[in-house]
Parts: sequence; structure tokens; C-alpha cells
Amino acid sequence: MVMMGRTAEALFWIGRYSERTENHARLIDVYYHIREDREGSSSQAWSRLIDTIGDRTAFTEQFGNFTEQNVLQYITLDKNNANSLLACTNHARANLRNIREKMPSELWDILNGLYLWLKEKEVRDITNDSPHLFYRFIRDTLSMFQGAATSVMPRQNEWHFVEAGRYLERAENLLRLLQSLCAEYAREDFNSYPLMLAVLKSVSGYESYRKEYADTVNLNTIIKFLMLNETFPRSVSFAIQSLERSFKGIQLDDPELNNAVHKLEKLAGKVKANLACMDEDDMQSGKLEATLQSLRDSCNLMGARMSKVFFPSREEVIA
Amino acid sequence: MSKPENLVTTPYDPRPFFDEMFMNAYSVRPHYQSVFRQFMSMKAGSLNKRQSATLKRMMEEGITFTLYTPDQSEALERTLPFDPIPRIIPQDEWLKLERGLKQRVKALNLFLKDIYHEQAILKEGIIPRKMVLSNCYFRPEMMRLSIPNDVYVTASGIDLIRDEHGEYFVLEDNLRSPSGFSYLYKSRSIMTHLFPELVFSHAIQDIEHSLNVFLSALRKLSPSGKSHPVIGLLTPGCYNSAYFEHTFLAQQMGLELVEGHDLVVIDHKVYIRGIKGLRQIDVLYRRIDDDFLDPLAFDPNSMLGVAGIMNAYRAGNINIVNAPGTGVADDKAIYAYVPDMIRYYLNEEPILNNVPTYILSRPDERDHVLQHLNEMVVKETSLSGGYGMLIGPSASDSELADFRLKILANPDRYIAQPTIQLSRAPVMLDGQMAARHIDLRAFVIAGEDIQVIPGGLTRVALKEGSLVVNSSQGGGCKDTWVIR
Repeated sequence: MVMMGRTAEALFWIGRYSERTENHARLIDVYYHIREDREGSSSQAWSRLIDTIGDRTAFTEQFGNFTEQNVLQYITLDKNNANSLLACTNHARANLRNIREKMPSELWDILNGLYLWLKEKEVRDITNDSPHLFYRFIRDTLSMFQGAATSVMPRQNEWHFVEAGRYLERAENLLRLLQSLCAEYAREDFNSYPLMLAVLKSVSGYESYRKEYADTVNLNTIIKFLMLNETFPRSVSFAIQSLERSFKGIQLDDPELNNAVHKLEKLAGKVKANLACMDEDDMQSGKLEATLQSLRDSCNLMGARMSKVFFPSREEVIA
Repeated sequence: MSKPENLVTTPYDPRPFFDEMFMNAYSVRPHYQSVFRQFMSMKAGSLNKRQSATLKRMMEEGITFTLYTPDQSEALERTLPFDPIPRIIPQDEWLKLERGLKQRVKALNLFLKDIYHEQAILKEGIIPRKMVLSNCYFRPEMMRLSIPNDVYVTASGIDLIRDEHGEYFVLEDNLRSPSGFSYLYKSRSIMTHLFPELVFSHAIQDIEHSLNVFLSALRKLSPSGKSHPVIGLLTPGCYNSAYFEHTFLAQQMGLELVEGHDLVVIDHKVYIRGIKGLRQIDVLYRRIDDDFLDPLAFDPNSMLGVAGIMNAYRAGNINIVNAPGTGVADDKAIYAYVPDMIRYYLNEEPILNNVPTYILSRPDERDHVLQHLNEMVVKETSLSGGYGMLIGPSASDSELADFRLKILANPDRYIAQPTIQLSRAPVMLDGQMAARHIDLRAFVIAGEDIQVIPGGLTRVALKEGSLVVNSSQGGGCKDTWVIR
């Protein structure tokens, strides 16, 4: 089969959006359940959710108050919020729909089923049943989606493009999560043990973390774990390694494109090397913010290069 | 104790229509006995459950078509309503249909070749020259062009109906880019999964095989004669109402699903732009209309097609399937002449009849129609999909008056047919069998030879009493079996 630029683009975004949906569902689930802990008003918890996965200005313009109803609507079901779970699922689905003849039909059935299910929901469907069950269903469905892809997709370019999208997205999401944790930490009254646990749990990292650091839960070790652990699949380091491998997996004949992918692979390799050289010092507050930001810049750069190389605007007509 | 579940109940009196299942209120046709018994023994509750499971499955698989209305921001995705009671065609009945369909498609292909070359049928005065040459689907660009195997129409969908005596009539030939293939295959797969006991207890002719027939037909029509030609399916894209069908056919036959901007023409050759470079394409099964095919040759505003593809076609570097210009043969006015074509080109009597058709440019036929307008179905010749129609018996006085004026102003643009008492078949509604009007779209594939997919797509008018079966007008479908 011939792989076209728009196919590559769709594959990349399928990876990104399915990963983003899953990450956000995890985060909402965990953050939702820590709101009772320490805040004076619950609106603080709601605004934290918005800050982590949304846009505060856009939210207040549209909804005004930080109520449970408004926040869950905005981050889960809002069609106008490009990062709501519904919107992300729809983006992933729309991309898959564009190339569905090229992908295993299991993948379409799972994603389309999820979208149709989510489309019919209202906030009261989330709160009436257990919100935990609601978000877990989304998470589980996306695990199934990834599982199906892993078990049936040939390891050809199609696969590597989806994986590249997935791991670039994962790295970015983790970095954003760590940034928001730092921002919380900078506040004077920060002493939130539950919040630290929540961060770990939102990436299903609590158990792995416990195995490594038996008795200490503090910000530095958590950040170190989520940044540098090379074996935990939801660490920045693991995501970047995988990203590099995905770029390496893409096989092209066109020398120009091949060269461009090679450059991307080198860039990912550089970020990986940077991570490997980091030490305790880079993890200290003060320096950490800059480190996180520079990593995010690198991720943005890779994303931008990717679109420039593979997804050029339509070429001129030749006849 | 819980209330016993209701069983599916009672047949109905089919009169005055022909009914596929019931001979009269007391007896079921022999070839339907077993299906009838099996449905009668099902519990209404479990049947409903299975029906809703079917619907959910269809939604999840995205077996949908898309409806766009200007006042809605989001397009409506709808599944084609699916009825679980199959339509059954006995073998001997089918064999006759099959012969008739092959005969018809053969004649239509000869007609297309003729009018784009010698035009003998026009010279002999069998069909009025004006009707062909001034037809909006006639493509002068196709004149004198020779195309592989002289096959103009590879995939056609011929719509058949039955009258009150069960006699089959051809209602319409769809020769441009007929849709419905995917529903045919999906109907069978849904039936197999949700009503296996019905499917497995009958010897149903296989349809999967016809996908291979389709693919080999496309391969055989490659101008290059390569053993593994590159074949693409040209779609207008995911906003097209039949997009599901395009992806389905591409996936099942391993075709490259392409949109116009994925293709580029260089030196009269057509290539797919890939990330590994350009790859030449040999056959294009197009699912867009002629007008949009090539902005250089046809509509310059079209974004859907490929600039220069007609030149590549004329140069013999690609085959376009179905050929451009086939619309002239499925026009509703030309339809009236198909029996004459069969006699003229094949020297045979037509096996399948047309519905009697009045040509309204002929004064005496027009007068007759205008006098009996409330008994007629009037169709605008260049429109399809159930648009621009008058159904006399159910039209209001003002609609009748309206159409009278339209006909008088442009008699050439209309044909009329007496209303046929379309046959009916039972559908399952809340555990009851109810009678609905149906038709049959039969699919014919022409490559080296001509083959008919066994069965076809039975379309159902789901509204009680309605005669309109088009999916865009609220029709549904049934699995269609040819049994031995």
C-alpha cells in the first residue's frame, strides 16, 4: 500500500489524541477524589483541575464559577473545549475515520464505541453513578484500544507514526503535570501529601514508585522518578526513549524525508542524553522550572518539525 | 411468577399487494416456511434485545450514512435501519433475474460504446438523436475513445420492483456510481452474527466471493495489462454520505482509498503522492460524479477531482471506472428505450420488463398523462434519490397543479409511469410482523464477463404505506437470500 502524507498525519494524531484522552481521564479521576482533603473551599480543587488540563481564562469566560457541574462539563463533555475528553476522543476518531480502511477494524470499533457512548452523556451521568467508574471506563477503553493496536498492528510505518504521536504526547503531558505540581509547591502553604500521591496515582506510578522508594514520599524523589526512571512507561525518560525508537522505526525511500526523520531521531536522542545527564541539582526548585520548560520546548519543536516534514500544505497542481 | 413473554404474533392479510412471505392470511409461501416458523417461536423480548444489539453494533462499526442539513451545525450520522426478517428469493426465480440483468447490462454497455463511436442506434432512428446528444450526461470528451474491453459500466445497481402479481420490473438503472454494496455485505454479516440459527439452517448463496469478482474485474480493466495493477478508489472524502461504503470497499478489496489531492498527473500519468514518493496508479474506481472528476476538463471549481486525469485517461495510462459519460445511459428518459436497445444490439427479447413509461415530449403520451396525473408517478429525468418526484395518488391538488405546469413548461425533462402496486414483505416491529413496501437493488459487475451478486440489497420503505425506499428518505434494508 502507499502511505500518503495525510495518512501519516492522521496516524500521528490518533496516537496523540488517544494518549491525551487517556491521560486526562486518569488525572480527572484522581484529582476529583482528593478535593476534600485540605482546601477551605472546594472551588480551589476545581480550579486546580482546570489549570492542569484546561485553560482558566477560557473556562471563566464561558462558565464563570468553579462549580463541580461547570468544571466537569468543561473538562469532560464540552464541545467547545478542544481538550475536553469528548473533543479529544472525537479528534482521535475523526483521524481514524479518515484512514479507517488502513487500520485494523477493532481499533475503529473501540474508539467509535467510546465516542458514541461519551457523546450521549451529561454531567449528571458522571455524578449520579460513581465518577470513578465513569473515568475508569474511559481509561479502560483506551487501554483496550492500545492493547488492540499492540496486538494486531504490523510493525510498519503506520505503527511507528501512532507510537511517535503517543510518546510525544505522553512526554508533554508528564512535563505539564510536573510543572503544575511545581506551581502548587511554590505556594507557601504547600504540604499536600495527598496531592503528591495523586500525581503518582494519576500516572499509575504509585506502586512502581513504592518499590523503588520504600518509605519516602517527597517532591524531589517523585520528580526524579517521573523524570528519570528508565523502566517505568510513564516517565519522561521512558517516553523520550520510545519516541526516539519510533522515529528510528520509520522507513522511507525519499532521501529528503529520510534525512528529516533522521534529524528528528537525533533531536530525541539529544533530549534523552540530556535527561541521562541530569542529577539531583537539576531537580532542585529554582532550577527545576527551567529544566521542565526547556524539555517542553524540545517537545514542541519535535511536534512542529513533524508537521512541517510530513504534513505540508497542499502542493500545486501538476497536469 | 413472572408474566410469560409474548411470542411474535400473527401474519397479516397481504391483499391487495403481492407479499414475499404470505400467499394469503393463512398460508406462507413454501420457501419462507422455515424462517416464518423460527420467527414465530422467538420471544418478543429477546427479539427486541437482538434488534437493539444489531443497532448498537451498526453504530459502533460506523455502518452509517451522513445527512447534512443546512440548519444543523453537526452532521447527522444515521445507521440504515435494518430489518431482521430476510427476503428470500428461490433459485429458479433468481436464475431468470440473473439472466435478465446480464442481458440488460450487456446491452447498456453496447449502447454506450455505440453512442460514443458509430452512433448506429441514432442513425437508425431507434432513439431520438436529440435525447442523447443534448443530454446533460453526454460527454463529447468520450467520443472515439476506446477503453479496455469496451466496458463502460463495471459496477451497476439495477433497481427492481414487483407488481401485485409478483412480476418483476426494472425501475431504474444506476450506472454512474451506485451505492449500497457495503450494506449488502454488512447485512449478511449482521444476520450471521445475530441470527445464526436462521442463516445456518438455509443453503444461502455466498456473496463474499463476489468481492473477488469485483476485484478481478477491476484488475482486468487495467490498461497496462500489469499482473498487479495499482487500483485506487476515489472518494470525495469523509463528509460524503457514502464514505463508510468507500472505506469498506477499499479495505475489503485492498484498494488505495484516495482523495483528489492525493493524486497528481505528470506527463499524462497519474500518481499517488506517498511519503515514499510517487506511485503510478492504473485503475481508478471513482465514486465521484463526472462533473467533479477533472477541473481542467469539466467543472473548474471542483476541488474533489484530479487536474489532468482526463488527458491521462485519453492517453491510455489509466482506466476510470465507471467510465465518464455513462450517465447518459441511466437517464430516466433513455430508460424507456432499454428494451429497444436489447432488441437492437443483442437481437433478443428483453427478459426483464421495464415499467411502462410515458415520454412526455410526445404530445399524445403527454395528454394521456396530464389527464391521469393523479394515477401517475412523474419523475424529473436528471434527478435521483427520490428527489423531484410526483406520486400522483398521494399528491395534493396543489401539488398536482404545480407539476402540471412544470410538465407543460419543460416536457422533455419529465417521464411518467403508472403507479405500480409495489410488493411488500414483512418487517419486525415490536414483536409484530407488519407489511412494508420493498424493492431490490441488484448489483452487476462487468469485467471480462458479466456477473451478478446473488441477491442484492432489499430496500424497505419503513413508513407504513410509503413507496419511497431511498436511504436518504428514511428507507431501511433487509438481508437478501438466494436459496437453493
